[in-house]
Amino acid sequence: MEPLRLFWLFARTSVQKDTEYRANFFAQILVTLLGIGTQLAAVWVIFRHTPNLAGWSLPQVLALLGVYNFMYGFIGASIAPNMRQVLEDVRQGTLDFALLKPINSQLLVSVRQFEIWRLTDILLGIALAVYASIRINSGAGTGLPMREALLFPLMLLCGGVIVYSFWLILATTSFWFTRIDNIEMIFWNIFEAGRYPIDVYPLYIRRFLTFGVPLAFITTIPARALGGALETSTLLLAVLLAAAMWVVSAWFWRVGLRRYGSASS
Amino acid sequence: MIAAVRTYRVLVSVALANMMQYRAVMLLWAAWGVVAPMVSLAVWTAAARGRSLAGFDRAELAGYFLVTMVVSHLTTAWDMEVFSYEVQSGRLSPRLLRPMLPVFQSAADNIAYKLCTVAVLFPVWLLIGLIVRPSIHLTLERALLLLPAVCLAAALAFVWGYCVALVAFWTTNIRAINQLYWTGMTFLAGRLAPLALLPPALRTLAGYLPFRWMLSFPVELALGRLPAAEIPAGLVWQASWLVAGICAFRLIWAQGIRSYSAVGA
Repeated sequence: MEPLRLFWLFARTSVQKDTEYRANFFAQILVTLLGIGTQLAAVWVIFRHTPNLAGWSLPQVLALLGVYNFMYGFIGASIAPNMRQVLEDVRQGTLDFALLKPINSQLLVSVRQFEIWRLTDILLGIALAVYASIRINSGAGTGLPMREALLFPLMLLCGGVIVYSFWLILATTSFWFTRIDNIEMIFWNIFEAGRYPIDVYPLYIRRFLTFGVPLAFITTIPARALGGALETSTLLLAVLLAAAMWVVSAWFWRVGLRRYGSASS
Repeated sequence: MIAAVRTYRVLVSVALANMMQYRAVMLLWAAWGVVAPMVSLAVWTAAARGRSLAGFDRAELAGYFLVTMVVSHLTTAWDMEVFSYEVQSGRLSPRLLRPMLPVFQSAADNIAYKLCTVAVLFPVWLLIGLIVRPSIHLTLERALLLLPAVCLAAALAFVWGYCVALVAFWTTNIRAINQLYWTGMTFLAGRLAPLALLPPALRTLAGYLPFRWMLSFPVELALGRLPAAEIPAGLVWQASWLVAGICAFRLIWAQGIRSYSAVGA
């Protein structure tokens, strides 16, 4: 419960700060709508030429876009601002302030920031995924089957854990390299490829996006769970990978901390 | 005139020296320009399923997106992303004290960026060319026409991008406007797909806006997709949009600079 309580505490103070700038809310809504509108229009243009994209039907691709925007919002609201703060703190030596607090340092550095307006991406992403799942299942004439209703949140959770752990590992490398402000560009470059099902890419890129950088588990696999086409082996792999990355990133953080040179570095 | 050319050479070489400090960052930015066209290529290859789409078979799609990658790098402009920061932080002020408009400095930065990234990207383009096996038949005549077309496209993208950037004088929230501009670039400049694959309504729209002339026109020219008669007409269109852009810039700048309050805009 401690993590949730802390998250809530920090989120509340961030919200209090952000709500001073209400104009940003409308700007963000506009940006999100334009962004999703652009993606939908792109999908529409593509599906004018083909009934399916590498085996994915239109509603399945819409489900993927929903997941993509959900993850994009989740990273933008919570993960990226927190990890940016870590990079900044390591460089300046101000991480001391976080380390001095009587709680787990990894937990603290992961919840300090929260950008409330990015919730628009998260909510519209979920709305799109729900709409897509209705479209997928209306074809079958049934409601959302039990299996999908359970597996989708589970896969989304695994994807969330994987992407969080991945960022934590990236941020932790700053203990060795100190100046890596632009490391997140690497992530965003790769994340761009997650906008479409990874099945459209050639085999070697697909392998890389599954086992090298686990992008497949962040967008494609949750979307596949919603579309009802998830094999049990993939499901197990996702759960195992999420657990493994969670453990490894936490271990790596502790190793990194020992290298931390504090303010005098 | 000669003095102006000499001043400009100095400006570009200073900008070049500045950029060399941030080599890694620049390469990460440049990587963006490689990833996005490759994603589009993968998606359209999957959508084509071995067929030919509006006269584009697999190798021609590869050719299209490879040339798009190169031309879009040569014509890229990013002032709308940074100018608002300069206005908000007041960093524009020292630049205003120089005996020349800040736009000339930005243009010098733009040229320097291209000079030093092209050297690194060239082998990357060659490598990608070897992997995707494109079909490009460039004749000498078209190569010669391509030179002014690309230069005009770069100038167009710079001038119109700068006009959009100037909106920052009136509002600090220009993200929505930037997003709209990028939506236009995505569809109407041919980043998402060759214009020939777009629905007729969008193709008509592309004829009335400057986006096509910033990227798609030189690409179509290079690939030999334009009838001979349309090429000079296209160059005239480019030149006209450029003149219109310069006029728009002068107007907006003259108005906007009056509402600039140095710090705390």
